[in-house]
Amino acid sequence: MAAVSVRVCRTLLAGMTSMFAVGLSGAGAQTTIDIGLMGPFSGPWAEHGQLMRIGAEMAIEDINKQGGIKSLGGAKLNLVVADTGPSIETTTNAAQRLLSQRGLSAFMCCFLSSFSLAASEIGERQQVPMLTFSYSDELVRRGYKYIFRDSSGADIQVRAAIKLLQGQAAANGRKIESAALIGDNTGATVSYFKSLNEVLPQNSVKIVLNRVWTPPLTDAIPVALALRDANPDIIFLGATTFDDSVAIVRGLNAARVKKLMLGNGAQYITPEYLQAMGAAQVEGLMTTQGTAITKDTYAADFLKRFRERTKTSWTVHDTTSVYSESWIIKEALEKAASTDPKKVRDAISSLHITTPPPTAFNGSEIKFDVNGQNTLAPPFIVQWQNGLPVLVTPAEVAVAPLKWPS
Amino acid sequence: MSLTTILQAIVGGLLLGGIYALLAAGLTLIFGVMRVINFAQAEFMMLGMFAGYVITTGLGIDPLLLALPIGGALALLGMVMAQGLLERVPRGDHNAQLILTLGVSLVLQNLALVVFGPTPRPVVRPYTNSYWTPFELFINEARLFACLASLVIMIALYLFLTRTWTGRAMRATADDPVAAGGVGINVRRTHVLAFMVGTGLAGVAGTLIVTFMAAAPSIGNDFIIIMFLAIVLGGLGSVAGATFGAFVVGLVQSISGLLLPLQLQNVMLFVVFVLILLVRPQGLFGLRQRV
Repeated sequence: MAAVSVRVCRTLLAGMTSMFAVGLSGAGAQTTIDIGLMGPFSGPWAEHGQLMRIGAEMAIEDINKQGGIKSLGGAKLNLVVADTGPSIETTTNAAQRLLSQRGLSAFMCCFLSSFSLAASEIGERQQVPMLTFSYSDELVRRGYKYIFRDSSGADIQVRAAIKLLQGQAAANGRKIESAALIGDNTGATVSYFKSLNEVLPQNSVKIVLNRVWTPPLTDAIPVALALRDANPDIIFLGATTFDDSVAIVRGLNAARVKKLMLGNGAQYITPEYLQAMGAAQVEGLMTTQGTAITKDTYAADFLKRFRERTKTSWTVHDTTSVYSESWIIKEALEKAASTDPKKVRDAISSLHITTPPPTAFNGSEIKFDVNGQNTLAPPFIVQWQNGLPVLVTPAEVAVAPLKWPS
Repeated sequence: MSLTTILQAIVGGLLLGGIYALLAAGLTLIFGVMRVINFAQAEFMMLGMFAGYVITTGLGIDPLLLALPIGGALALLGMVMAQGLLERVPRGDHNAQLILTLGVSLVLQNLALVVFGPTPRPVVRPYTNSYWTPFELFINEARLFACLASLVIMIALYLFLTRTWTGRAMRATADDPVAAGGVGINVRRTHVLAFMVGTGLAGVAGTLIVTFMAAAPSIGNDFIIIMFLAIVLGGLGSVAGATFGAFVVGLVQSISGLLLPLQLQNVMLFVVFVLILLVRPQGLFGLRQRV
């Protein structure tokens, strides 16, 4: 009896082993491919992380619904999410964990430039391609091979904004001869102000005030009063946290500083921002964006689906950039026909995307230079008009013309 | 630099100090009576902010009217924490207390993240975006009302601690728990009560703060260091000292912005902190033997 039992066990074991082996040999038709998303899902920038996540989830649902990665046997994409937390230190730890423990083909990162810069060090070292929409130009000026930015950075945005606004000023019989720079000392703002310090004097614009703080800003009124005294023609806003971006515009309105104002990012155009400020307080306020809902029909359809999903009227570049980047990764996986991050990196660097979805949000074709910058990416400026943030530049994809603040 | 600019900085500092005072008073009361450093204090403030947000947006009741009821509710939550968790930790084991309150802080933060999500939740009242402008000064009405409400509550707290039997029992327990027990004070009950008052004050402060700052799960991180600076400056365990320390912190933050680049605002705060502790290691109002 005992001998029979042993024989039965051996047979079962052999059967299970062979089944396992067959399972492994069938792994050539891979069922899922992990791609990463790092963002601030907690801490003062968490709302932006949440918007990024929605963009990634919508893209992956769309890609998987359309049959996944065809060159890899219809493999489905799987999103692996990592929280950067509130600081560079927590971002570094999260990136190390994400990239060393998961076999990612590529990842997207991280909203705040300081965080993207930190994560890019790890991505480059671990040789996993990273896509980003962060503004700091340092991201694509260090000769790294694995870092790609599909949208425009601070320098491109600043140069285009000055050109556009000086043109608009001339058309309205005005001049932009002086500027004030006020903002925090996070990576994106530092890069933004660095570009402004170079570009403004080149365009005969004098910088009459420069105020930089470490967030959170304790009281916006002294800054607003200094601005009132300096009386610049244009104010460049670089507050990155929600409370600071609310407080500074609230303070400027209180001090009756009615000037042309240009912010640097999505924090000035979220629904919560409108809720906190009210439509009258934000009217005319502009901000730069890396990507946007352009007048392309694909983007319009995306916005409709976003509204149905979130019950929110509009979205910002946190969502559209990550949506677009997920599709860029999809195209790279198709081209590489491999999940190996090195091959995916090579595929990204040689991509030339000319059709939506990505072009519907990037407003251009996508082609990366040797530094990983999409050189065709235009700068976007969005302006509050009658309680809605609308794209006002570039003119080819804008949904409304810029309104000069009265 | 004009006189108006200097006055504006002083007024801004006083408004900040008024809010910080409420937060610092609760923290120092808990430490003074129980010898517990409550790292979750800022999270009770955060819960007060969310409670204010939920009730105001749901029922349309002004947060200024909700401050005391919400403070009461958070005092009850404080009671649960004191009796359910802190009393289980060996008395005098500061490491265990520290880890426990830090753990509670993380749990509350993450619970808020799960329940409310990461999106900032602003409360907008008619006074949120309004400014009072006496003598060319700009005073945000929400901050002003919050500061005034805070001062009223601080006066009530002072009267409670000095004029009522329970308040005097708290002070006696803070001075010498053994002697307090000897004269018939229920020390255990007094500890719980002190924790309730401390967390209740944080809840009141949160409800007042939400009138000018958005509620967010991690908002406490912006305040916790300030609270500790204020109570150490004033002298650990001294409510009057913590109040004074809070105003010093507010004024230093505000005035240093006039004299130095804004980026050095908090550096200046720590410079003043170190200088005061060099001269008075026990803090401005602390007793030397307590330190």
